[in-house]
Amino acid sequence: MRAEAGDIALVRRVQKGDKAAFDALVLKYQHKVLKLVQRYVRNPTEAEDIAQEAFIKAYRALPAFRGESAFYTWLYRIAINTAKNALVANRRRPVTYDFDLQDSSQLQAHARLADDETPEALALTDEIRRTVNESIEALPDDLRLAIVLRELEGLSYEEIAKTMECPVGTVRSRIFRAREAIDRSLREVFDGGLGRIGDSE
Amino acid sequence: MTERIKEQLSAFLDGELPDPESALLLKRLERDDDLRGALSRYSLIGAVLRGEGDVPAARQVAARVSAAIAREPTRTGGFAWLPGSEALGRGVAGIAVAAGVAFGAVMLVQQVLSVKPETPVAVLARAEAPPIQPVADDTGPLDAPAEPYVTPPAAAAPVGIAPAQLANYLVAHYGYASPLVRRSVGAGLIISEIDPALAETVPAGDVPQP
Repeated sequence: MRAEAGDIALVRRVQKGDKAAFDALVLKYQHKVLKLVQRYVRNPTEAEDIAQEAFIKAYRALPAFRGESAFYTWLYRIAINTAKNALVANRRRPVTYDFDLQDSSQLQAHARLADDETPEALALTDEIRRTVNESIEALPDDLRLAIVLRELEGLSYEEIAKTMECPVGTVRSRIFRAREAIDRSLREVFDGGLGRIGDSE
Repeated sequence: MTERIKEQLSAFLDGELPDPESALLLKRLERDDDLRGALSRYSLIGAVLRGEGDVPAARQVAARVSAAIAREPTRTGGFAWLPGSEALGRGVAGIAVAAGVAFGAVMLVQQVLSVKPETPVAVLARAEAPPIQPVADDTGPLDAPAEPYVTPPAAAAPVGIAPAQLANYLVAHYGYASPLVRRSVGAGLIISEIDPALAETVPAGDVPQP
């Protein structure tokens, strides 16, 4: 079963009234959608609002989704349209400046604030990226190869099993163990105070 | 949260968990925050590997969407009770009210017609009927010919709502009625006010014979 088929199964559940299935889709795609929206809207708070709006629009439109395209492709279009509409709405909003444009230090500070990339947020993003990459490097070869084939190459478990010449059950176990090893390091980052991803969800 | 459940979660994220197990896992996800956190982090690991995602902001998206979705009406069977459907609902309610008013108007007209003494048929029947003979004795022979039946004499004045009032009522409520009801009610009003002279056009066969 490919990831797309799994998504379709979740979509069918949502269409039958299972809201938990939609929660799972959101948990799965929130990072991807947010990254996509941030190509249009740099302000993370606004990007998060737009991502949220895109998911809610998708939920409302899901009864009409027939599964002719992959769920993420469909969600991707909704997210892009929502972001573009937000951009159009933003252009209609008057811009006000309450700082001295002649003062270059204030101008630079404003530019950073406009992006809303606080030092803490930037530090957390860097820390997470570094932790994941270091954890991947530290994995045994068979675990690292399994998760790279899955996450970067997008292969199914069956395809990975053929590539690695092992049973599908072993692939499933290796990918899980790889994730779990990386997650142990990630939890230390979040529990260390930089971010609490689990708390908010 | 056991290792087995987390392994299922990992397979679920990849779309590799069989349906029955997915259903059970989804139920568990609904009530297990730790499991939801793990799903989010597993998803994040993939996003970071692929160079996607801005982690700090993404912390809030799932929680906010989940809260918003919880307030949404449940959608099933491909039918959605979307905001636009509310207008449809209001339309249906309006039709129901209009149908009620029209039905009331029809019943009122029928009531008026049923008590109206000088219906064209009655006028015609009385014109052709022989005069009523007074009964001299209730004890007459049983084999005597029976008295012919005639419509009882009418009251001097019509009972119920005057045609003018009825017309005003119908005009005032015309907008609520369907075209079919408008036609039938209008026709009823016309027949009730028909000139007695035109009553002769009623076919003779429809008139009760003595």
